[in-house]
Amino acid sequence: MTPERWERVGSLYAAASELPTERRADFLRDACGDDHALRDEVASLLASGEAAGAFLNSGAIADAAKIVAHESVGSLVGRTLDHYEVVSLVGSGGMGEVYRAHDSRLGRDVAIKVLPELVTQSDDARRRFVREAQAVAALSHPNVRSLYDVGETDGHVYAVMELLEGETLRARLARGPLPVQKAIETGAAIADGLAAAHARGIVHRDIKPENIFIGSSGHVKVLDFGLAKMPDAPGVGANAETATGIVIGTAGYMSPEQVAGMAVDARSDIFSFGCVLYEMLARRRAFERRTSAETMTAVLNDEPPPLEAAGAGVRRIVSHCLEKQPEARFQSAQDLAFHLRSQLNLVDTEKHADARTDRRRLWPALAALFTIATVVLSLVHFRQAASPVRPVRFDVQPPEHLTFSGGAFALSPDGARLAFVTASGETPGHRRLWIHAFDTGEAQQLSAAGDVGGNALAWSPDGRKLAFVAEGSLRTIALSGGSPTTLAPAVGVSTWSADDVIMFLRDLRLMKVSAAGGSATPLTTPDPAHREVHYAPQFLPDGRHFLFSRSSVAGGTSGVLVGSIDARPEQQNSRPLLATHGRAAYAPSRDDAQVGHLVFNREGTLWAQPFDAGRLELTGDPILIAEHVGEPENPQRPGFFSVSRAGALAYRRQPTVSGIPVWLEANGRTTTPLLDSPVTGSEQIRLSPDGHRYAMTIAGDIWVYDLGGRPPIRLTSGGGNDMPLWTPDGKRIVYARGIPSYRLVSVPADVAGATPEPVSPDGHFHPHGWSRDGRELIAVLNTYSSATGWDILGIPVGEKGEPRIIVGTASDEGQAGAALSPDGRWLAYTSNVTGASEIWVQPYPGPGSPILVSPHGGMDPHWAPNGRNLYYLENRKLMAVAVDVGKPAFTFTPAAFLFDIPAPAASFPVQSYDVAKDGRFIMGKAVSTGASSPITVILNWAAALTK
Amino acid sequence: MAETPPGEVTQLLQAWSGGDGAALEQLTALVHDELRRLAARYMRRERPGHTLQTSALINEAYLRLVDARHVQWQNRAHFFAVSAQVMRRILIDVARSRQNLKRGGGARPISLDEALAASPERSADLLALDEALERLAVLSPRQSQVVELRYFGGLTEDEMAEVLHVSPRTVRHDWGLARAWLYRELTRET
Repeated sequence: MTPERWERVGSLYAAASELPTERRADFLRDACGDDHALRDEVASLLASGEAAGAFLNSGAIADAAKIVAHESVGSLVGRTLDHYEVVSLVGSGGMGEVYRAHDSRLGRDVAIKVLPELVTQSDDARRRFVREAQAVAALSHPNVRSLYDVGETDGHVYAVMELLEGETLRARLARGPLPVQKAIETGAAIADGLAAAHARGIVHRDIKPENIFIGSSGHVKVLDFGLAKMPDAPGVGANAETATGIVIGTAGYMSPEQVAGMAVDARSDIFSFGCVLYEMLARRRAFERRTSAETMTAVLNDEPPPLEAAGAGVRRIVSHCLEKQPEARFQSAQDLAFHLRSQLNLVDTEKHADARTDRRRLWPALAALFTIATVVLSLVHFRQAASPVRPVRFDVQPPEHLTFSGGAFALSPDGARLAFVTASGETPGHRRLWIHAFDTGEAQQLSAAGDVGGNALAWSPDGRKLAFVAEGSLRTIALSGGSPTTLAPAVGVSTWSADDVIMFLRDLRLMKVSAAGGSATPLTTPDPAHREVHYAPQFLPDGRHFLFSRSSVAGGTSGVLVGSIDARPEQQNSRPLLATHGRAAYAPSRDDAQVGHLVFNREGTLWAQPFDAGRLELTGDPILIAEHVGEPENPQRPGFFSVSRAGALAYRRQPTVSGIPVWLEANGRTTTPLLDSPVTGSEQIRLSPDGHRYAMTIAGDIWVYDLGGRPPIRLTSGGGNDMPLWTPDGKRIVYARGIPSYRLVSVPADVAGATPEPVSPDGHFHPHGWSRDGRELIAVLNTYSSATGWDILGIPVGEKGEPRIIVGTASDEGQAGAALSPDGRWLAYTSNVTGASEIWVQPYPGPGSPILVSPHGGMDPHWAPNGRNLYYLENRKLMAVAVDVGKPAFTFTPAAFLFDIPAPAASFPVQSYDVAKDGRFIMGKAVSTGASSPITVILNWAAALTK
Repeated sequence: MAETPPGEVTQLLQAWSGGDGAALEQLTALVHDELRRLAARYMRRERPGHTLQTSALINEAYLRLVDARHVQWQNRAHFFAVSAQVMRRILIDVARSRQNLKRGGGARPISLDEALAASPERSADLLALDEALERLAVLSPRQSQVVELRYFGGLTEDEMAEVLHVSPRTVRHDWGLARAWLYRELTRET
């Protein structure tokens, strides 16, 4: 089949598929005439189209997922969940699998419980799990197994717990009876653990021998508080979760109220504990019948058989635990522990009592210390506030060897601390959260936060927690320590209201979620017709309204709007406040939260404009706060800032790379810069054929600079243009136009804003040179096909004709440059056929075999004007290959290092250069990379406005 | 300068190429988000209890994006086109590695149950599809690209129209024909 015939098939197919099925055969017979093969082909395709069903409709990811899913049934052994390397399977059951794993961050072994996926598919169940895990994580007691972390990755929800060596009480009992003394000690330890949990409002609900662990050294731990429920919060309907029919607990250890499906509290655990204690002493269960229904009936009605093994005191304790009425039992696990210990010998009792008293004494002392510290701090602040209010400006530098990560910083509500994220050079995955306190000048890392992403942070209104995005999820962390809490998938977060609502970004819109957890709901609906994106939400003081930014690509307007959390998502688009491509935040005045300023960035400058937060109106004119925070001409780079409630403002300049074109001698020595001041984002320098001018790309537009000092000319506008190439006569510039479609076009080199003329067909070409006769333009093309990759093409100049392929394989040829030798005989180009970008040379116009000339990788080949040298870049090294021009075959001496090139003048990491007739090199040299730029803080910034 | 800023993805990309590494992370998170959503949907519908290695996919996507840094993204359409290409390469590599695994003796017999679960929608044999797409590209590069953009890149009809500079109607026609042809290629008895 030829493409032409295929086109014919296609048009018949299109026409036929518009028709009802029964008329297609007639249509094809008429349309195809004698060409039965054509008719059959179209008919076959029509049939295939009907049979294809949902073929390809679900998308490649889903299909790939199926391939993967069908293979990876079962164990996670050998895999890594976040930073936990799963070592072995410890056990599995209905509530999930437990693995032994290694925490590669803290270097310790842990146990990981992975929830069954059936459970985690339910948002409700997952939420409950996370909430309960949070409660347990807050609990630290020697008789409760520690829960370190809760995570969600690859669809697995898991809890990371203390790894225990030893056996469960169930296993221990199976080996034989516990001595009475030992049983009482074990019981007291369990009661201690329960008491600690109960003190935090956590009820276990499933105390049984399987959930008690006896360590190798005899230490007792209560396990599996994962099933524990928080008692009903005041004002919430009675025991909603039980009411939905979820039965928690194990028949035979359930309390009567649990069996009856009534609300349970700590006293239910005391009943279950009584069953366990009974079993330890009696070596049989307190309530055991043939079926669980009978067992549960016994729990409600029967008394267990009398205990023979223990003394009267212990028997009394057991039966006091097993009272049917909660009111009749021990009322606290603490009392229970006390009574149990009273059955042990006196020495032990005293030892325990002393230890407990000591702990109790220590706490008030610590609390007093904290109070003093707080008072001192408040005094410091008070003095600052009381002194004449003047703006104070200082820079915060990143910790040593690190840089700040974009705009990921936020002032604390009291303006006394700055949270920020650092990056470590180019290394991905090393973003760390820090808190910098202005009074001490010291920064402290919150390592538990993990690898922090996103471009913003949000403080809780009380300044005790931070919300951030890590590993694709919104998380919160307490500054006092502990593990982060994961709330929802998110890409950015920037505000947290007094009512503990956190707003974050996902799917190009704003979402909200309670800081306490729960489901996330959308707050705004971006208009898809205008390709809107909503971002940068900031709550206003009432906690109901918020500011947010909207940007639109297609016909809409960009600006800052006021939204309301009480409005429906599609109604949020109605209150525009400011036209800007940046973002805004509200800074209340010192004495009235309702009036203050909107701080916002517009065209690279930071402004403040009086704003009445009660009436949601701007009330004055904008006042300039800081210039050059972003790039004035580039709305995508507005710069970053943060404001606090208490008159502090922080901003950071958009890290930009600026540079100056320079000449470099053949020995690498730099001569005078070619411009007085640096330009931002300049790249792709090309000298004109006469060497008097050079063209370069600056932020997506083509400029021509005159080496004689005449003012530069901007040839294009609108962005999306790059890769300039002079025509051989130096009169025009060919470049790659990106908007509205990819195409090579040309404009006069000395006229601003001329209409471009097409040079190539549509396609993503880069121009790289001309044949000696000027009749063929050598260009590379991204074919967007993995079968062909980038190819090098010859485009006929000034005449009709199709481009021809000069080099076209499955590898990428010319992606990192191509150049024809001055004598027109050799084409040098890059290819990654070896796996790395290398320089190859082959005869031009062909045919002929390519010769590899770069031993260790290479990009951007250029010929010396006399053809005796072929230059290229090997990372930051300029290399030269000496060519023997007299030989018919390509003859060269291996590449020699010339000199280290300067860092490029644009953020594009690869330098570009050109070679002058006199052998000098021209290239951009970075003056500032901006990456190390500090965060500037202004305290009392508003004071400057009143002057 | 452009009067209106491009969409978020482009902003992120431009911010990224402008040296703001956090943007790449946001971009990765966006992709991650989408994958999670898809994976969860798939799991709910068909095979509870199995695991997806989405993070492996994403890590690969991330690394490849970093590698492809010298590709200049100029607009959203271009980015989509490149992402579709990147996704295709990643997913084909995944499929290929699975196949090698099977050839390498690590094969686990697939139960009838699983075979049945896989067949109703005939989850495409990605490697065969990739090869068929190359053959289609010979007949019509645009039709092959439509499949790449939609199937691998998840583009909508309008987005494809923007990338390819044709009408949405043409895109729809290309998709219908390409799908019919590919289905025939992949189900052909050999």
